[in-house]
Amino acid sequence: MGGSILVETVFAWPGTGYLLNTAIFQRDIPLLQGILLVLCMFFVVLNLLVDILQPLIDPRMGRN
Amino acid sequence: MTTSLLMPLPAVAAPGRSYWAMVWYQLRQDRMAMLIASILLLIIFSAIFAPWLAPADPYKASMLHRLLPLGSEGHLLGTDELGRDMLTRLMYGGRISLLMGVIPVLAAFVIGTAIGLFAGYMGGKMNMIIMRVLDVFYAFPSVLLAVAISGALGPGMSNSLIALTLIFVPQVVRVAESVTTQVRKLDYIEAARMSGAGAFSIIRVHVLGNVLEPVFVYSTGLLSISMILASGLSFLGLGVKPPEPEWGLMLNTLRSAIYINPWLAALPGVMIFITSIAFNLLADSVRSAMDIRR
Repeated sequence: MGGSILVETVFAWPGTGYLLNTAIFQRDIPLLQGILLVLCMFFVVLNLLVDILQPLIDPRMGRN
Repeated sequence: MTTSLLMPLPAVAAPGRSYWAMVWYQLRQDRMAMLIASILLLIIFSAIFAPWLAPADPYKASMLHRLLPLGSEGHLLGTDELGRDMLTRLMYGGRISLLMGVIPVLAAFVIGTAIGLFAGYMGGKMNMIIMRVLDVFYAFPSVLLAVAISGALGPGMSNSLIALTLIFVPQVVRVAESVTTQVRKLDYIEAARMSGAGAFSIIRVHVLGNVLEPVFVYSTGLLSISMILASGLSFLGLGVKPPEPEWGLMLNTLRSAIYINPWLAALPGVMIFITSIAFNLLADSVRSAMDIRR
Protein backbone atom coordinates (compact mmCIF):
# COMPACT_ATOMS: atom_id res chain seq x y z
CA MET A 1 0.00 0.00 0.00
CA GLY A 2 2.95 2.32 0.64
CA GLY A 3 3.88 1.98 -3.02
CA SER A 4 0.59 3.60 -4.03
CA ILE A 5 2.09 7.08 -3.75
CA LEU A 6 4.76 6.25 -6.31
CA VAL A 7 2.42 4.49 -8.72
CA GLU A 8 -0.24 7.16 -8.51
CA THR A 9 2.30 9.92 -9.08
CA VAL A 10 3.81 8.17 -12.11
CA PHE A 11 0.51 7.48 -13.84
CA ALA A 12 -1.26 10.60 -12.53
CA TRP A 13 -4.09 8.56 -11.02
CA PRO A 14 -6.23 10.78 -8.80
CA GLY A 15 -5.95 8.66 -5.63
CA THR A 16 -4.89 9.28 -2.04
CA GLY A 17 -1.21 8.80 -2.90
CA TYR A 18 -1.39 11.49 -5.55
CA LEU A 19 -3.21 13.78 -3.14
CA LEU A 20 -0.52 13.11 -0.52
CA ASN A 21 2.16 14.07 -3.01
CA THR A 22 0.47 17.36 -3.89
CA ALA A 23 -0.17 18.04 -0.20
CA ILE A 24 3.54 17.72 0.54
CA PHE A 25 4.56 20.16 -2.14
CA GLN A 26 1.93 22.72 -1.20
CA ARG A 27 3.05 22.29 2.46
CA ASP A 28 -0.57 21.55 3.32
CA ILE A 29 0.12 19.96 6.71
CA PRO A 30 -3.52 19.40 7.82
CA LEU A 31 -4.25 17.57 4.56
CA LEU A 32 -1.06 15.55 5.01
CA GLN A 33 -2.11 14.55 8.51
CA GLY A 34 -5.61 13.64 7.35
CA ILE A 35 -4.41 11.43 4.51
CA LEU A 36 -1.90 9.71 6.77
CA LEU A 37 -4.58 9.07 9.38
CA VAL A 38 -6.91 7.52 6.80
CA LEU A 39 -4.21 5.42 5.17
CA CYS A 40 -2.90 4.17 8.51
CA MET A 41 -6.43 3.27 9.60
CA PHE A 42 -6.71 1.21 6.43
CA PHE A 43 -3.36 -0.41 7.12
CA VAL A 44 -4.16 -1.27 10.72
CA VAL A 45 -7.65 -2.56 9.93
CA LEU A 46 -6.31 -4.71 7.09
CA ASN A 47 -3.63 -6.15 9.36
CA LEU A 48 -6.24 -6.86 12.02
CA LEU A 49 -8.47 -8.53 9.42
CA VAL A 50 -5.61 -10.75 8.28
CA ASP A 51 -4.82 -11.67 11.88
CA ILE A 52 -8.45 -12.60 12.48
CA LEU A 53 -8.83 -14.53 9.22
CA GLN A 54 -5.60 -16.46 9.52
CA PRO A 55 -6.77 -18.98 12.19
CA LEU A 56 -9.97 -19.57 10.20
CA ILE A 57 -8.00 -20.55 7.09
CA ASP A 58 -5.23 -22.40 8.89
CA PRO A 59 -6.40 -23.83 12.25
CA ARG A 60 -2.82 -24.45 13.40
CA MET A 61 -2.34 -20.69 13.82
CA GLY A 62 -5.12 -20.38 16.36
CA ARG A 63 -3.74 -22.77 18.94
CA ASN A 64 -0.87 -20.61 20.08
CA MET B 1 56.50 -41.66 26.96
CA THR B 2 56.01 -38.44 28.83
CA THR B 3 57.78 -36.48 26.09
CA SER B 4 55.05 -37.38 23.57
CA LEU B 5 52.47 -35.80 25.84
CA LEU B 6 54.37 -32.54 25.83
CA MET B 7 54.62 -32.44 22.05
CA PRO B 8 52.63 -29.73 20.24
CA LEU B 9 49.01 -30.45 19.55
CA PRO B 10 48.12 -31.99 16.17
CA ALA B 11 47.52 -29.71 13.23
CA VAL B 12 43.73 -30.11 13.35
CA ALA B 13 43.44 -27.90 16.39
CA ALA B 14 46.33 -25.65 15.46
CA PRO B 15 44.73 -22.94 13.29
CA GLY B 16 43.21 -20.84 16.03
CA ARG B 17 41.41 -18.66 13.55
CA SER B 18 38.97 -16.13 14.82
CA TYR B 19 35.29 -16.31 13.99
CA TRP B 20 35.49 -13.49 11.43
CA ALA B 21 38.45 -15.14 9.69
CA MET B 22 36.35 -18.29 9.38
CA VAL B 23 33.45 -16.29 7.93
CA TRP B 24 35.78 -14.61 5.47
CA TYR B 25 37.23 -17.99 4.48
CA GLN B 26 33.74 -19.41 3.95
CA LEU B 27 32.73 -16.38 1.93
CA ARG B 28 35.77 -16.70 -0.31
CA GLN B 29 34.74 -20.25 -1.22
CA ASP B 30 31.42 -18.90 -2.49
CA ARG B 31 32.01 -17.98 -6.14
CA MET B 32 28.66 -16.24 -6.53
CA ALA B 33 29.31 -14.06 -3.50
CA MET B 34 32.72 -13.06 -4.81
CA LEU B 35 31.27 -12.16 -8.22
CA ILE B 36 28.56 -10.03 -6.64
CA ALA B 37 31.04 -8.42 -4.27
CA SER B 38 33.27 -7.48 -7.19
CA ILE B 39 30.35 -5.91 -9.08
CA LEU B 40 29.41 -3.98 -5.96
CA LEU B 41 33.02 -2.91 -5.41
CA LEU B 42 33.16 -1.69 -9.01
CA ILE B 43 30.06 0.45 -8.49
CA ILE B 44 31.38 1.80 -5.18
CA PHE B 45 34.82 2.44 -6.67
CA SER B 46 33.41 4.33 -9.65
CA ALA B 47 31.22 6.37 -7.31
CA ILE B 48 34.06 7.31 -4.95
CA PHE B 49 36.51 8.19 -7.72
CA ALA B 50 33.89 9.80 -9.99
CA PRO B 51 35.72 13.16 -10.26
CA TRP B 52 38.81 11.41 -11.66
CA LEU B 53 37.14 8.64 -13.67
CA ALA B 54 34.16 10.42 -15.18
CA PRO B 55 34.58 11.48 -18.84
CA ALA B 56 32.66 14.77 -18.55
CA ASP B 57 31.31 17.43 -16.23
CA PRO B 58 28.06 16.21 -14.59
CA TYR B 59 26.49 19.70 -14.74
CA LYS B 60 27.57 20.76 -18.21
CA ALA B 61 24.45 20.94 -20.35
CA SER B 62 24.24 21.16 -24.10
CA MET B 63 21.05 21.97 -25.97
CA LEU B 64 22.47 20.50 -29.19
CA HIS B 65 23.10 17.06 -27.69
CA ARG B 66 19.88 16.28 -25.89
CA LEU B 67 18.73 12.70 -25.35
CA LEU B 68 21.39 11.07 -27.48
CA PRO B 69 20.97 7.27 -27.65
CA LEU B 70 23.29 4.77 -25.99
CA GLY B 71 26.65 4.30 -27.65
CA SER B 72 26.77 7.66 -29.41
CA GLU B 73 30.13 9.29 -30.05
CA GLY B 74 31.69 10.93 -26.99
CA HIS B 75 28.75 9.88 -24.83
CA LEU B 76 28.98 6.15 -24.18
CA LEU B 77 25.65 5.95 -22.39
CA GLY B 78 24.00 8.84 -24.21
CA THR B 79 22.87 12.15 -22.74
CA ASP B 80 19.94 13.19 -20.57
CA GLU B 81 17.16 15.69 -21.25
CA LEU B 82 19.54 18.66 -20.82
CA GLY B 83 22.38 17.13 -22.83
CA ARG B 84 24.48 16.11 -19.84
CA ASP B 85 26.60 12.97 -20.17
CA MET B 86 24.73 9.99 -18.70
CA LEU B 87 27.77 7.90 -17.78
CA THR B 88 29.17 10.78 -15.77
CA ARG B 89 25.88 11.45 -14.08
CA LEU B 90 25.37 7.80 -13.23
CA MET B 91 28.82 7.69 -11.62
CA TYR B 92 28.21 10.88 -9.63
CA GLY B 93 24.69 9.72 -8.82
CA GLY B 94 26.11 6.58 -7.25
CA ARG B 95 27.80 8.71 -4.61
CA ILE B 96 24.55 10.09 -3.23
CA SER B 97 22.51 6.95 -3.83
CA LEU B 98 25.00 4.70 -2.05
CA LEU B 99 25.35 7.17 0.82
CA MET B 100 21.58 7.26 1.15
CA GLY B 101 21.63 3.49 1.27
CA VAL B 102 24.42 3.09 3.81
CA ILE B 103 24.15 6.03 6.24
CA PRO B 104 20.57 5.38 7.50
CA VAL B 105 21.36 1.70 8.02
CA LEU B 106 24.58 2.49 9.91
CA ALA B 107 22.81 5.05 12.07
CA ALA B 108 19.91 2.68 12.71
CA PHE B 109 22.39 -0.09 13.51
CA VAL B 110 24.07 1.97 16.24
CA ILE B 111 20.95 3.62 17.68
CA GLY B 112 18.77 0.53 17.35
CA THR B 113 21.28 -1.79 18.99
CA ALA B 114 21.73 0.63 21.88
CA ILE B 115 17.99 1.00 22.48
CA GLY B 116 17.40 -2.72 22.01
CA LEU B 117 20.12 -3.66 24.50
CA PHE B 118 18.77 -1.17 27.00
CA ALA B 119 15.16 -2.33 26.61
CA GLY B 120 16.04 -6.01 26.64
CA TYR B 121 18.39 -5.75 29.60
CA MET B 122 16.09 -3.61 31.74
CA GLY B 123 13.13 -5.87 31.06
CA GLY B 124 9.81 -5.44 32.82
CA LYS B 125 7.91 -2.15 32.57
CA MET B 126 10.72 -0.21 30.89
CA ASN B 127 10.92 -2.83 28.14
CA MET B 128 7.19 -2.72 27.63
CA ILE B 129 7.06 1.07 27.40
CA ILE B 130 9.89 1.23 24.86
CA MET B 131 8.58 -1.61 22.72
CA ARG B 132 4.99 -0.34 22.67
CA VAL B 133 6.20 3.12 21.63
CA LEU B 134 8.17 1.53 18.80
CA ASP B 135 5.15 -0.56 17.82
CA VAL B 136 3.47 2.69 16.84
CA PHE B 137 6.01 2.96 14.02
CA TYR B 138 4.96 -0.50 12.87
CA ALA B 139 1.41 0.70 12.35
CA PHE B 140 2.59 2.73 9.34
CA PRO B 141 3.61 1.22 6.02
CA SER B 142 7.31 2.09 5.73
CA VAL B 143 7.17 4.01 2.44
CA LEU B 144 4.30 6.08 3.75
CA LEU B 145 6.15 6.83 6.98
CA ALA B 146 9.24 7.91 5.03
CA VAL B 147 7.15 10.18 2.81
CA ALA B 148 5.29 11.57 5.81
CA ILE B 149 8.43 12.37 7.80
CA SER B 150 10.31 13.96 4.93
CA GLY B 151 7.10 15.71 3.90
CA ALA B 152 6.72 17.18 7.38
CA LEU B 153 10.41 18.14 7.69
CA GLY B 154 10.52 19.49 4.15
CA PRO B 155 12.45 18.17 1.16
CA GLY B 156 16.22 17.80 1.30
CA MET B 157 18.87 15.14 1.55
CA SER B 158 19.50 15.40 5.31
CA ASN B 159 15.77 15.23 6.05
CA SER B 160 15.31 12.10 3.98
CA LEU B 161 18.31 10.57 5.78
CA ILE B 162 16.56 11.32 9.09
CA ALA B 163 13.32 9.84 7.76
CA LEU B 164 14.98 6.62 6.63
CA THR B 165 16.87 6.26 9.92
CA LEU B 166 13.64 6.66 11.87
CA ILE B 167 12.07 3.87 9.82
CA PHE B 168 14.86 1.40 10.40
CA VAL B 169 15.49 2.04 14.10
CA PRO B 170 12.36 0.21 15.38
CA GLN B 171 13.12 -2.82 13.21
CA VAL B 172 16.70 -3.09 14.49
CA VAL B 173 15.51 -2.51 18.06
CA ARG B 174 13.07 -5.38 17.76
CA VAL B 175 15.82 -7.80 16.67
CA ALA B 176 18.29 -6.59 19.32
CA GLU B 177 15.65 -6.63 22.06
CA SER B 178 14.47 -10.17 21.37
CA VAL B 179 18.02 -11.57 21.45
CA THR B 180 18.89 -9.61 24.59
CA THR B 181 15.76 -10.87 26.35
CA GLN B 182 16.70 -14.45 25.49
CA VAL B 183 20.32 -14.08 26.58
CA ARG B 184 19.59 -12.14 29.75
CA LYS B 185 18.07 -15.15 31.51
CA LEU B 186 21.03 -17.46 30.80
CA ASP B 187 23.17 -18.79 33.65
CA TYR B 188 26.45 -17.14 32.77
CA ILE B 189 24.89 -13.70 32.88
CA GLU B 190 23.55 -14.59 36.31
CA ALA B 191 27.04 -15.81 37.27
CA ALA B 192 28.63 -12.59 36.03
CA ARG B 193 26.15 -10.54 38.03
CA MET B 194 26.79 -12.62 41.12
CA SER B 195 30.53 -12.10 40.84
CA GLY B 196 29.92 -8.36 40.95
CA ALA B 197 29.92 -7.24 37.35
CA GLY B 198 28.01 -4.02 36.64
CA ALA B 199 25.21 -3.78 34.11
CA PHE B 200 27.39 -1.95 31.61
CA SER B 201 30.20 -4.48 31.65
CA ILE B 202 27.78 -7.42 31.47
CA ILE B 203 26.17 -5.89 28.38
CA ARG B 204 29.53 -5.08 26.82
CA VAL B 205 31.22 -8.42 27.50
CA HIS B 206 28.44 -11.00 27.54
CA VAL B 207 25.39 -9.64 25.74
CA LEU B 208 26.80 -7.54 22.90
CA GLY B 209 28.59 -10.47 21.26
CA ASN B 210 25.34 -12.40 21.03
CA VAL B 211 23.30 -9.46 19.80
CA LEU B 212 25.74 -8.09 17.23
CA GLU B 213 25.56 -11.06 14.88
CA PRO B 214 21.78 -11.23 14.23
CA VAL B 215 21.55 -7.44 14.12
CA PHE B 216 24.41 -7.30 11.62
CA VAL B 217 22.73 -9.90 9.40
CA TYR B 218 19.42 -8.06 9.62
CA SER B 219 21.06 -4.71 8.81
CA THR B 220 22.76 -6.00 5.68
CA GLY B 221 19.31 -6.92 4.42
CA LEU B 222 18.17 -3.36 5.12
CA LEU B 223 20.81 -1.81 2.83
CA SER B 224 18.93 -2.51 -0.39
CA ILE B 225 15.60 -1.46 1.12
CA SER B 226 17.18 1.79 2.26
CA MET B 227 18.55 2.47 -1.21
CA ILE B 228 15.22 1.80 -2.90
CA LEU B 229 13.31 3.93 -0.38
CA ALA B 230 15.83 6.75 -0.81
CA SER B 231 15.46 6.56 -4.57
CA GLY B 232 11.70 6.61 -4.15
CA LEU B 233 11.91 9.74 -2.01
CA SER B 234 14.15 11.49 -4.53
CA PHE B 235 11.82 10.32 -7.28
CA LEU B 236 8.95 12.12 -5.56
CA GLY B 237 11.16 15.18 -5.19
CA LEU B 238 11.61 14.81 -1.41
CA GLY B 239 15.26 13.89 -1.53
CA VAL B 240 18.04 15.58 -3.43
CA LYS B 241 17.46 18.89 -5.24
CA PRO B 242 17.29 18.77 -9.09
CA PRO B 243 20.69 19.79 -10.50
CA GLU B 244 22.33 17.19 -8.27
CA PRO B 245 22.71 13.79 -9.94
CA GLU B 246 20.94 11.00 -8.06
CA TRP B 247 19.53 7.79 -9.50
CA GLY B 248 15.98 8.18 -8.22
CA LEU B 249 15.80 11.78 -9.30
CA MET B 250 17.26 10.99 -12.74
CA LEU B 251 14.62 8.30 -13.13
CA ASN B 252 11.99 10.95 -12.53
CA THR B 253 13.41 13.59 -14.89
CA LEU B 254 14.01 11.09 -17.67
CA ARG B 255 10.51 9.68 -17.31
CA SER B 256 9.14 12.12 -19.88
CA ALA B 257 11.75 10.88 -22.38
CA ILE B 258 10.56 7.28 -22.27
CA TYR B 259 8.83 7.51 -25.66
CA ILE B 260 11.80 9.23 -27.32
CA ASN B 261 14.57 7.05 -25.94
CA PRO B 262 13.33 4.25 -23.67
CA TRP B 263 16.74 2.63 -23.04
CA LEU B 264 18.12 5.90 -21.78
CA ALA B 265 15.16 6.45 -19.47
CA ALA B 266 15.63 2.98 -17.99
CA LEU B 267 19.34 3.40 -17.15
CA PRO B 268 19.08 4.90 -13.63
CA GLY B 269 16.48 2.26 -12.81
CA VAL B 270 18.83 -0.44 -14.02
CA MET B 271 21.56 0.94 -11.75
CA ILE B 272 19.20 0.97 -8.75
CA PHE B 273 18.12 -2.58 -9.59
CA ILE B 274 21.65 -3.95 -9.98
CA THR B 275 22.95 -2.32 -6.82
CA SER B 276 20.04 -3.31 -4.61
CA ILE B 277 19.96 -6.90 -5.85
CA ALA B 278 23.74 -7.12 -5.33
CA PHE B 279 23.32 -5.88 -1.75
CA ASN B 280 20.57 -8.45 -1.18
CA LEU B 281 22.45 -11.42 -2.62
CA LEU B 282 25.60 -10.46 -0.75
CA ALA B 283 23.60 -10.21 2.45
CA ASP B 284 22.29 -13.73 1.82
CA SER B 285 25.81 -15.07 1.26
CA VAL B 286 27.11 -13.36 4.39
CA ARG B 287 24.21 -14.81 6.33
CA SER B 288 24.98 -18.37 5.26
CA ALA B 289 28.72 -17.83 5.78
CA MET B 290 28.07 -16.68 9.33
CA ASP B 291 26.16 -19.86 10.14
CA ILE B 292 29.31 -22.01 10.19
CA ARG B 293 29.87 -21.65 13.91
CA ARG B 294 27.11 -24.08 14.75
